[in-house]
Amino acid sequence: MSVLQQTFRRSTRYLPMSVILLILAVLAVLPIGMLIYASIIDVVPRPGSTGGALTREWYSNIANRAYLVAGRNSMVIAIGGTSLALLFGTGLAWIGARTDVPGKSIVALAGIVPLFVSSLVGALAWSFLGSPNQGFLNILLRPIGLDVINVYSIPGIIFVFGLYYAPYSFLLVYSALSLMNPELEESAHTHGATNFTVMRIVTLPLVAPAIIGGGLLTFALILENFSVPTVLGTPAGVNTLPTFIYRLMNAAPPDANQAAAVGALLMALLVVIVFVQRKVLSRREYTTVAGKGFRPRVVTLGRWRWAGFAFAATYIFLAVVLPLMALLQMAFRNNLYIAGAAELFDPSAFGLDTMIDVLTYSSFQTGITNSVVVAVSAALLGVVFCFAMAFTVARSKLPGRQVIEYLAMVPVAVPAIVMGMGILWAWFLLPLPIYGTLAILVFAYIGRFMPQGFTSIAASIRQVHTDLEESAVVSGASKTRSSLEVTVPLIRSSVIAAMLLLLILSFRELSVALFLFTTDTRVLSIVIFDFWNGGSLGRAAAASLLYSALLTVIVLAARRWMGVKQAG
Amino acid sequence: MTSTAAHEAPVAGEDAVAEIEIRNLTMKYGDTVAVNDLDLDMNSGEMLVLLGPSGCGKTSTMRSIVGLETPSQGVIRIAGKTMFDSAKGVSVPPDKRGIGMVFQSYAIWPHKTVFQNVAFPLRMQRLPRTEIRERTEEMLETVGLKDEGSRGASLLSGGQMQRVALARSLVMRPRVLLLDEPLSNLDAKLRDRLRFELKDIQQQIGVTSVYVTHDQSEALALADRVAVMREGEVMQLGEPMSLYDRPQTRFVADFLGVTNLFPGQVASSDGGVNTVRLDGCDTEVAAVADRPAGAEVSVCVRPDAVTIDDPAAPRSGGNRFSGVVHASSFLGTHVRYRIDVDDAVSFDVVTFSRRKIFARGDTVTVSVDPADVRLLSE
Repeated sequence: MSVLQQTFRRSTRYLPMSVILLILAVLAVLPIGMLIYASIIDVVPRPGSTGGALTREWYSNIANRAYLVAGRNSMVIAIGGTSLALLFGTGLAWIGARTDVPGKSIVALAGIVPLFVSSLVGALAWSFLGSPNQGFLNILLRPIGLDVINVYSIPGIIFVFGLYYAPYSFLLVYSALSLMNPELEESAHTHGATNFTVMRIVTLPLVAPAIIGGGLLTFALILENFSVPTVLGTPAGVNTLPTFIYRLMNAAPPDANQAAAVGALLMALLVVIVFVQRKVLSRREYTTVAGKGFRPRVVTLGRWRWAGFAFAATYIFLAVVLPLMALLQMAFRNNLYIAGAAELFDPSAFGLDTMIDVLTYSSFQTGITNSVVVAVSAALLGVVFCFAMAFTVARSKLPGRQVIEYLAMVPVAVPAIVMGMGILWAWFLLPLPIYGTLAILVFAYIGRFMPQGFTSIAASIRQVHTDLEESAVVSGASKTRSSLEVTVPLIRSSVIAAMLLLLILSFRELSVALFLFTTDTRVLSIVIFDFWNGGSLGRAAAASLLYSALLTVIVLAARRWMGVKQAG
Repeated sequence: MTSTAAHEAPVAGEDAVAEIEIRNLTMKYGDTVAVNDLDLDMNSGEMLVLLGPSGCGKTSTMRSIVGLETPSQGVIRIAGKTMFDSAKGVSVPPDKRGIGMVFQSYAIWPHKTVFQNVAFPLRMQRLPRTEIRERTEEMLETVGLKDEGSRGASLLSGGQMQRVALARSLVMRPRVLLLDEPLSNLDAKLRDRLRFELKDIQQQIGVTSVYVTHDQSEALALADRVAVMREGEVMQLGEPMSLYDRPQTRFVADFLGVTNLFPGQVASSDGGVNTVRLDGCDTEVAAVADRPAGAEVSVCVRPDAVTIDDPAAPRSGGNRFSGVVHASSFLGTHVRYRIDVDDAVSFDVVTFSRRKIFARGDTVTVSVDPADVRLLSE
């Protein structure tokens, strides 16, 4: 081979990786850089201007009482919400995986259904249910004098978080419990331990990493959540760090640098939590033994079977049934003023006016179109990009491929609302005129969800033994040919599953879009948020119903597809 | 299976080059040296087994031959054609080397049928459809899977997968076939059967083969020649029987399953016979060898070279020791004993005679012909 050929080969070898690193720089590095930059200079980031002198002002301002209160609220809510979510999540996981509870598969389903409800919709529904005076539950309970429910409070926010963030710990603990080698527990049992002791000395220590890891993940997600504390905290004047950032950005004039400083602190907090969470979960291997079909040990509950079932049923009732009924009430009422409990069941109070109004409302219609266009584009492009990254990391021997892995995971530790800000400012710097188009939303969503896409595709590529590809190469296929003939067909279903995951996540997302939309580029979640913000609660409910219905259709289609995968 | 031109051995002349020629092969992963300055020649049609513990460089050597690894240094030629030459910057990619390979995991593509798996290399050569069909079916028949072509490959048993892998590696009529521990994932009985089949097919086709394994009995059973490797180097190369009978080092003897290895010191040397005093006891062993007195050696006796008798049996010359049966296990074709001779020395003995079976605690005499005692250095 000539020197020229070698040089050419070398440069083409690095080309894909260079492109990937460039995209990662734009999606992850630049936004974070801009955010930090904005937090230490004395001028507002603006298109075409990057000047300004260094200042510490924005960070020293944070010592102000209002910020400290927001920070304290954030911590209290995150700790309370995580504890409640862990209670629901691990409880459901244990009941569903390890007991003889009736309707086991329903319990397992209960653990994940709320995952597909946008937390914005959950918070809206609970504001209809539990607001003081006008909340449906208070109206119902007034005759017996128990109309004391108030979700417009820190406990109310904690409660709603507990409901909607239970699935994360559920998933981790459920899989740890069902994959655990039952012989580990059986051997303790045969060597003299009682059921309770087995649980204490074997089961619990083995699932502890999953519980702690799930708890930290939930903590991080609650800490960065914007919609729940906005919907439930605003009426009571309760601020958290994310809502504070939003208020700073929406002030007139926007206090962008101050928002950046608060955002940078929130991000720093998240980095620490995510780091600890990863450390905890990386030690999880010893709990499971892969590749063997185990039948997990089942505890006979006896009389307590129905108590277990009641626990699961109560959870579904609170997380799904009640909120759904509240949305239906709001969406189909002709008059939102309700004098007494009887009016909740009066057929003449209902009609289709609000629903028709929303369906014919032009921003709702463009919202649907925009949501579909953005979510589908983000899913398709995101999956291609994630495949390229995962394949490079797993299969190339190029130096620096680990950098891709780190950068791809960076957005996990960036609060969505902060990422939105960073992306907004990053695009001020770049010559592409995409601000104000749907494209910037697509970029933002890809950046936000690439950790999830990357992780799932990388895992599936790692499952394809390199022998399978190498045997194709030895048989005379080029590397490209071998990946097309072998790798792609083998991980096709995982890639499609990852695509559906990105689709669902993008469709559900609100926070990252908050600073990136314009009048023409509002997505559904933004439209609902605007309805709520403008006081059109009936419209907000009707739109939420349609939004959730669409999400459900996507999820069911996804499940169907994944079901087919399992069968075939 | 009809032999075809591609499989016939090249005419062996005085100056016939080796089929595979490896010179100064060195492979490093970071600071660790996997293969260290290795030279190896293979004749056409022979089966060479690379035997050694994990990490000895046998797999790295094989993967360098096929081109899946790039050596740090060295030359690899196959049938006179340079496949790799670090000095000249030559490295033929694996898809152009035309070498067949059976992977340890079989690497059968689960999304293709048996037929599609086997036909793949021919498709890559863009052969006409009818020829692909003909040759694939012929190959499937050779490995005994004639009627399984349309089955999905994910539904095969381990033994069947192994046959598919073999068929796929042979269908393109390679000059060289590489086998990477192809039997290690099978249960013992199947392994024994397939070992014979494999040897049979290889000899039938006459393809030059490199076989990697850490199982000494597999190596001895299959090989025309065995190369025992350790830490990236070939310790000893030779035909199975000569290797087993005349290991040159303690490592080779140990790895080939010679269990009677005792460290000692040459006490005297007299006319081609050494007397060795074993470490930690008074036992002396005579050996036909010529080492200087005082040399540190390992005494090596094959378990099947030891005779076991009643103490009352008539004496014969050579080494005779009185011992007690510590354990005896009947293994079907033979009986294996462990005989304690003194505190530090126990002999492993294999006997095929069933005239007299000794039990634990019996006092016996063990004897070894000095010609069967080998003195090894480390």
